[in-house]
Amino acid sequence: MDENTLLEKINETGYMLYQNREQEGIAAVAELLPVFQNMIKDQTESQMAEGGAFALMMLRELLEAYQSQDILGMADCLMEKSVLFVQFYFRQSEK
Amino acid sequence: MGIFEDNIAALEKKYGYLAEKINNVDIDSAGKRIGVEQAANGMKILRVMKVGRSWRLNSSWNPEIAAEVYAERYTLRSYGIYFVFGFSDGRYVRELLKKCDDTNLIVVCEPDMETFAIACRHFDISDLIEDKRLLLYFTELEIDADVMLQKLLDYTRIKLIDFYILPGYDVLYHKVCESFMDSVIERMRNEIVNKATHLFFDRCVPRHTLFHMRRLIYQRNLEQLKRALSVYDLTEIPAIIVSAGPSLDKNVHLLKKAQGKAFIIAVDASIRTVIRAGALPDMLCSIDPNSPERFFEGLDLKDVFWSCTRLSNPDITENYAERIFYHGYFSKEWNKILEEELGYPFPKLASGGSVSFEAFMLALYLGFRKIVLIGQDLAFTGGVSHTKGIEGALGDNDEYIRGRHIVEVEGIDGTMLETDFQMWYYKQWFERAIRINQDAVRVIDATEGGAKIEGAEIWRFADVIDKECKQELNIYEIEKSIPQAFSPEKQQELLKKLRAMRQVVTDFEKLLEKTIAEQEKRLALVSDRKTNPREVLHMLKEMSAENEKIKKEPILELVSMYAQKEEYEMGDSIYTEEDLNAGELVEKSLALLSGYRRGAALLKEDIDEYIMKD
Repeated sequence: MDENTLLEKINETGYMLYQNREQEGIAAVAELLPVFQNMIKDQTESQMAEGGAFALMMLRELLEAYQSQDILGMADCLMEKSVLFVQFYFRQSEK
Repeated sequence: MGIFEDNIAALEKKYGYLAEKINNVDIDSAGKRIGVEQAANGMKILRVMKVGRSWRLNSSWNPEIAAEVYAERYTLRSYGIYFVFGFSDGRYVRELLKKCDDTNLIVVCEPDMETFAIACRHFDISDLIEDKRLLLYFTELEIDADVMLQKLLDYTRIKLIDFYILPGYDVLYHKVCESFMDSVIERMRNEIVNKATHLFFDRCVPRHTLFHMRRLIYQRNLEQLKRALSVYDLTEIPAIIVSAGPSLDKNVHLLKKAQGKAFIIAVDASIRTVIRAGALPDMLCSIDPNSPERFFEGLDLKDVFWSCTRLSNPDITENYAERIFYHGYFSKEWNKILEEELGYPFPKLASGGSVSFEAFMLALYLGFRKIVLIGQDLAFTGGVSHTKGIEGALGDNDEYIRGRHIVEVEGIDGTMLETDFQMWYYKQWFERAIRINQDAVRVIDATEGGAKIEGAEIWRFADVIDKECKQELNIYEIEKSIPQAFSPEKQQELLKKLRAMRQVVTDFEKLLEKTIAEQEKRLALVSDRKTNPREVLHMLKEMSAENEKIKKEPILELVSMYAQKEEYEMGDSIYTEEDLNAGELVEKSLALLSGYRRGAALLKEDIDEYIMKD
């Protein structure tokens, strides 16, 4: 998934969650979680050194909110942290 | 003034009781669980600790955008009523209100009053509190949502209802949310059932109402009995509700042993079986408008105290009931007059459609906290519909059952039993009443058969007699000592006031005639293509003002009982058919007014028969 597609997907999911469209939103988060996991796994050493801790924190927060069915927790994590992580990841990959 | 003071001042204007409650919330204690934090954009948001996790009640990224996005999801339509579960910091509700017009109502159900109290200290929500389109409801203050829903929802609005839940609230307050939604759905179902009932009983309801409005002047009311009983400790005295289910034949012979040690309420058809078993009930509850005479004929019921409402069959009460304890609603005006004369509100019970449920509410109202049910099968136990005592008053047993809409329910022994939709519906009411009153009352189902009633303990009736009917209290003697509610002079005055109603109807008829004539002229004009749109709009506004005037006439309440068909037809279309043209609107208005005109004539006929005759 390229950066724009992924950012759009994050945005759409955030909207669904803020709108309390629970089932759709949670299903969309379930699709995003493995994408983020793979991105973190595939990070280069320099990416890990620069943003690894943030990426792991983002993933843990999203996973916890997902497991607790915390709708706003998921939405906020996506809009605040996942967006930054994705932007960071693709910028670093371009380098 | 600060934020809190502003909010409290707004609350005092609209919900005085709530302002006091919010002021009394222990903020230090609430603060351990609920707090305020800053979102990424610097705005405040609420958070709540629950199950070891901190839950935010708005977005920590951008609470304003989150609220806007939330409201974007919904399209609100004119006359819609929107139930919103959760208040949070008020931002979501404010966004929804931006989409409302003056015909809308938003009812916010907040499950956590302490959260609201904290919100009052940190967020300026005075604009929301004061907004006439918004109503706040707190489950902690009024457990039975139906009390509030009955005031808001009538049949005409049920197609215009929607239910919204704020993000996170259904996870955090799952049970309350589910229960609130169930209450709304149940009220909608009741309105539909009420429609069917009103149309089925048609003229019978207002006729019975008029009959009892007069009869009650010379009788007693339930509040008198409640007051007489209030000096006794009823904790250990059970109320036994005897219904006419088939299992009654198994244990009714034991009922006599409970006499003088319990408050025995016989329910309509069960009376034959009860009397034949040698017992004398303390009360006979009869509210069915079509109660067959065969339930009572041949019985000596002179010594029996009856409990009746405006619906009770007049022929039965006239022929068999000498001493009645009345309760219920008759009309706004008549209940007001009674209240003024009595010095206390005329007693009213929540109604559940079935006479057994009425008996249940009656026992609760009188202060009994242990309620025993017998003959309450709520199912066709063993393929039988009723106790043998009714002697085929409802026709052939098998034919009766075949004619019902059958559904299955779980029996007390776990097997599946057949019942009909009506009894299934009554069962829901019972279960709900038990649930709502679970802290106040203990319910024992000693039917020894029939459907399982959730929340009721299952006992053998013999054990109830042995263990629960130990303390003596002769309630029957207490009832006998209660005089008529009004002195002979007051009775005369009340009858005079009741008779004045005839003139009120005559005046109302004149108003209707005049309005109908005006609207007929308008119909011709709006149908004429030459009339310009501005004039049409002006005429529609005038028509609306005239209709509002008619709506405000207190007598309309009784008149409209004769025009149920027209009212429901209007309700089915007027708010929902958004593309009605001006001519169609005037036609619909005229149809309703004509219905009222017919209703007023019928009401006058019935007043002559039931009120004016000596």
